[in-house]
Parts: sequence; C-alpha cells; structure tokens
Amino acid sequence: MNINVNKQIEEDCLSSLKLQIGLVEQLKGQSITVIGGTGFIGTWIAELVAIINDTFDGNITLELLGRSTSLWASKHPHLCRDDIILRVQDVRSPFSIREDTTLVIYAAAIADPSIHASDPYKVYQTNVGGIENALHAASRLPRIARFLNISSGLAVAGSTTEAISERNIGILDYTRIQNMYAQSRRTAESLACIFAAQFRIPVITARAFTFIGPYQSVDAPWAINNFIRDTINGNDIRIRGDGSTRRSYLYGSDAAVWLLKIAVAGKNGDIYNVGGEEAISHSEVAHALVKLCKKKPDIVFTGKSASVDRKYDFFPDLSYGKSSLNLKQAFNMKLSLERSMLWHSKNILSQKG
Amino acid sequence: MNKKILISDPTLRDGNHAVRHQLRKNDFSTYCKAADAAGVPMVEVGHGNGLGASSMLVGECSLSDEIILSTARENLQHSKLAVHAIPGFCTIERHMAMALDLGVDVFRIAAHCTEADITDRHIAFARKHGKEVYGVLMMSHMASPDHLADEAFKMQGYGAEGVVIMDSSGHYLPFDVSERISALVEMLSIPVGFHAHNNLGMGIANSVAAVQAGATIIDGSARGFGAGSGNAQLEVLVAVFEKMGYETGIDLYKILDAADIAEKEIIPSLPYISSTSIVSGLSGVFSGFIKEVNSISAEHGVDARDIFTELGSRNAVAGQESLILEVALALKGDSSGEAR
Repeated sequence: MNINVNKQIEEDCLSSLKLQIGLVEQLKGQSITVIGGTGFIGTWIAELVAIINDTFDGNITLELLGRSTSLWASKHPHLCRDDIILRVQDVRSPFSIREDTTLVIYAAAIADPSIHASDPYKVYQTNVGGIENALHAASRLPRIARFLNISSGLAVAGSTTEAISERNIGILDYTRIQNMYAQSRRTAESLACIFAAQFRIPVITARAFTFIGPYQSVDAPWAINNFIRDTINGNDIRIRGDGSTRRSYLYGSDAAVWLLKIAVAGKNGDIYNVGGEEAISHSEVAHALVKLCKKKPDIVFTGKSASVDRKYDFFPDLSYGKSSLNLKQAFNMKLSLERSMLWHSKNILSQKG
Repeated sequence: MNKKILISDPTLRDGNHAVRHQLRKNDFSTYCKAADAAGVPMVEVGHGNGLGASSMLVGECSLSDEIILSTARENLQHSKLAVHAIPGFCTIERHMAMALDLGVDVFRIAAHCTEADITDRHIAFARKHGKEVYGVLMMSHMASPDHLADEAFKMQGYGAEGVVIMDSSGHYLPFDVSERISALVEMLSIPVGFHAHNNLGMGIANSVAAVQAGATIIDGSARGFGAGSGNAQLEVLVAVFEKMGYETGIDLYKILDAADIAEKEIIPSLPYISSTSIVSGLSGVFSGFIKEVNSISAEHGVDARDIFTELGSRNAVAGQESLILEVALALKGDSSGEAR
C-alpha cells in the first residue's frame, strides 16, 4: 500500500471519529480483542486504533484473532506495531482471550454467499460454534466491560421493501438451506442472550447491513463491489434483474466508529442496526459509478428470476442508534462511492503493475 | 409471467458430438453467419464436451479450440459467442484465458449434476473479467429435484447469472422437467434454463414444460443437431414459442433458412430416434456415448441396447467412456460363458 492510500484511510478515520463526540476519550486505555479481526471490520478498527494512539495518545491495546494473520500482516505492514497484536485462531476450536481485555468484539463470520452455498456446515460452525467459544472465553475475563456481537441484518430481514427495525423479529423458514446463514446468525444471537442471562456477560448486538469501502474484496460476490471492479476494469456493469433491488451502504470508517461507539456506550442487552441511511437501487448505484468514470461502461441488465414477485430490499431503520447514541455518517452514499472508487482504483492498478 | 425466452443455440457444440467432433472450419463460418442473420442471441461452439476437451478419451477434435473460436468470432456480428466449459477438461489459465482473448462473450460452466462445487473458480474467473456466465448441471436426472436445486444454489452463490439443467440422456418426461425446474425457480433468484435431448421424442414438449414451470433460458439446435438423437429442434422451438406468445428475438423465416443451410451443408445425417437411442434414454446414459457404443457393439458382437442398460445400472457419466468397452467385454463374457 502506498503513502497516498494510507493518507486516504487516515483522513477517512479522522472524519468519522470527528462526528462521535467523546468516543476517543471513552476508548482511551481500553484493551480490545476483535475475534475474526483480520477481515473488513477488524482492519478498519486497527486503522482507528493506530490513529487514536498516535494522534490522541489513546494507549489502546488491540488484539486481532484470525485464521490468516500472516497474510493480513503482509497486506498491512503499517499496522504491524506494538499496540496491535496478531494471533492465529480458528474460532471453531476453543480458545482463550487476553486476560486484560475490556472490550470483546465478535466479528468472526463467513459472510461470503459462495461459501454459504458450498459449505454451509463450515459457515454454521463458524457463526454459531465460534461465538459459543468466544462467549465461553469471555466468561473467564475479570475486566470485561462489553461483549459486542456483530450479527447481521439478514437474521431478521425476510422479504421486505421496508426499512428493517431492531424490533423486527423476521420470518425465516429455517428448514431451507438458503436461509442457513441468517438462521446461524439468529442462533448466535440466542446464544449471546443465554450467556448474558446465565453468566452475566455484558452483551450488546450490532446488526450489520451492507458496508462499502477499502478492504473489501471487489471479487467477492456482492453486487456493489463487482460493479466497482467492472467499472475500474472497463467492463460492462452487469446487474441481475431489473436493478430495482435496494440497499443502503455504510462506509468502512463510519462502520468501525459506529461499532466502537456501540461497544463503549451502548446499553447491555440492546440491539443496534449498523448500516447506511440512504436506500438506493442497484441501477442507481451503477449510474452513479458511471458518472465517476472517464471511460463510461455500459450497464447491462441480466435475466430476471422467474419468481418476479420476490423482493430483496435490505436496508436498516437507524432511528434507535441515532436517537440513543447519536450515530452519524461522515460519508453519504455519494462520498462513499467516490472514496471507494479512489481506493480500489489505486489498488487494482497497483496490482496490475 | 415473463414473456421473454433467451435461446442458446448449441448446434456447433452439441452437434459436434454427432460427427465425432469433426465439424470443419467452413461449417462454423457458414452456420454462424446464418444464425447471426436470424438473430439467435447466443451461439455456442466447440468440441462436444467443450473447451479443452479434445482427447483420446472423449474424442479428438479436427480443429483446435483457437481455430473454432476465432472462426466463430469472425462470423458473429450480433449474436453472442458462447462456450461450454467443464472444469477438468477446461483450465482457467490455458483455456478460459485464451477464450477471453479470442472474444468469447458467454461462458457456460458445466459440471455433473451433483458436483457444482468444481465450478467455483471458473465462474469467478469469468465474472471477474466482466463476462456473462451461466452454471450448467449435466445429467440432471441423476439428482433429485431438491438435490439439484441445492447444487444450482451453489452456482448462484459463485456468481452464475443463470443455471441451466441438461437432460443429457434424454431421460425426462414433461412432468420430470416441471418438477425440477420448479424446484430451481423456487430456490434461486437468477434465471433458470433447460437443455433437452430427444431420445424419447420429448425435446420440444420438455422445453415447453420447462418454460411453463418458469425457465427463461432454452437450448435448441438447428434440426436438433446434437448428441444421440439430438436436441430440441431450434426452429420448432422458435415457432412454438411464437405461437405461445413468448418473445425470442429470433426471426422465424431466417431461422428456418439457417436450419435449411445446416441440413444442406453441415449435418451429414439428420438426428433421429434410433432403437438404441430409446434404450439410451430409458437407461439414463449420456447421449454422447452412442457412437462409441455402436462401434464397440459391432466390434464385439454385443447388443448395443444391453450395453446401454448395463451402463445405466452403473450410473455411467460423460468422461467414463472407457467403461463402454469394459461393459461390452463383461456382457460378452457372460453370454459366452467366459469368466469376467
């Protein structure tokens, strides 16, 4: 990663932090463990911790548990520092957490739909067995102040065209394999609830919706990332169906800041949605990306599903997080797309040499 | 109801099975021009088993993949150039990259009906390069509707923009097709397609059943030119769908002309439902085996129908052509009283 790219990340983190008054002070001196810490969320949290420690004398210790820490270290050499500790850990096996940990963030989940389809058992083991191991480990921590379970809005999404509230309990046919990921997230939430009640672990749940930005793989089978990849590579933007499906997007630095805010200031037992404010259709995203390019790609609509009545809108109702924690987005949809395109363009071009 | 049907034309790919992969360069250029003029949306070309498949085991192609693709590319102005690719035969670096360079528009990544897992990297590669990509489940009668839907779901997860199930042995009756297509339509959020073989005379009827169950992608070959007793006959499909009120975007008269050209200039003998083909269909054995079965049957004096029946009981699939001789020798040994 070059200096310009690092500079962008730093600017993004500072912009997001600036909107969360008091968060830096609340984080000072904390010892944070992120389980599943080498993914998108863990990497953004590492960036934030590095900036808070360097800029605001934060004295935060961060431990990241992941399966491929050496790969992560090779991709992020600027984050290999004394205050960020890496540990190889597959969450499917029992493990322990550093004894001085005050905040545990459970971010280990397999969100990739291609793995949901081909290896649902592994997904279930990771999403459910993993959090069970993490909760057991957390139950032995003497100083734990919070266990943040990063769940998914899909746990309660169902088929809807409305914004999804934290109070929505959803309808899910748990006997269908295509619902296995959502069901595993529901079960994980239930487990966290059990540990909170029985072992007095201070659990909070954050339900993640769609994120965007640096550190996501443009090759992962998610629509917006593929749109960005195809745009940068000069290929057609291929949209499944008629493009009316709506999502909202939360930029990486905002997502990480919101999660930290929820971890330190949220209310035990509560659930908070974490996602973007503006619901926007795939077609609108594609047109917005076209506007950002000099060489305009074509937008191609691929075939519709025969089940044309199905709706796959997916975006959160954010009123609770905004009113109770004053969560704010530093990056609206337009800015998120611009910053994402900027970062991915540099990365894809640097990979091409 | 979705009133548009996407027709994919495998005349120059499945038809290659019917001539032991000996289609000539001129055949590709002649038919591509005719199909292009008729407005066929997608023209599939290559060895019968797809990219990289030319081999002693499944048959050596008279032309290289490069020559086939470049010839087709030169003669397709409007139709998309499509290839069938089975991971194992087709490698990413050698074959898919070459196909990209030669201007292939559509990749149809195929696997045996219970082995969708092997298509993951190939589908991702095609998507990464901005290409249209479909998953194809071959020999689909060998999986239950639920199992088939689970495999199709994997392909959707890998990034396929549609999933086509193949009745590779011409085994289905319309009810079987409806049941399977319905299961896929219920499971998937992408279009579903059907590729028929005509062993039991059901090519058109099964394609219609597929559409009525929600399929929106249908394969058809000119004059039904394809493995065994052939595929659903393209020009008939176009006429039938037109009568049913579906849009294919294909000009009926021009596709009739294209089929006439194919019959006159490309197809040495029109596909028909031979006695052996009927047994092949009933046995659920891959239609592409028929040339080899007939040849070995004649050489060893074993009834081809018995060979197909035994192959069916052994669940033989494409790529297991070596089993044909083994089965024939075993049957010969039984009938002559020789030890196996």
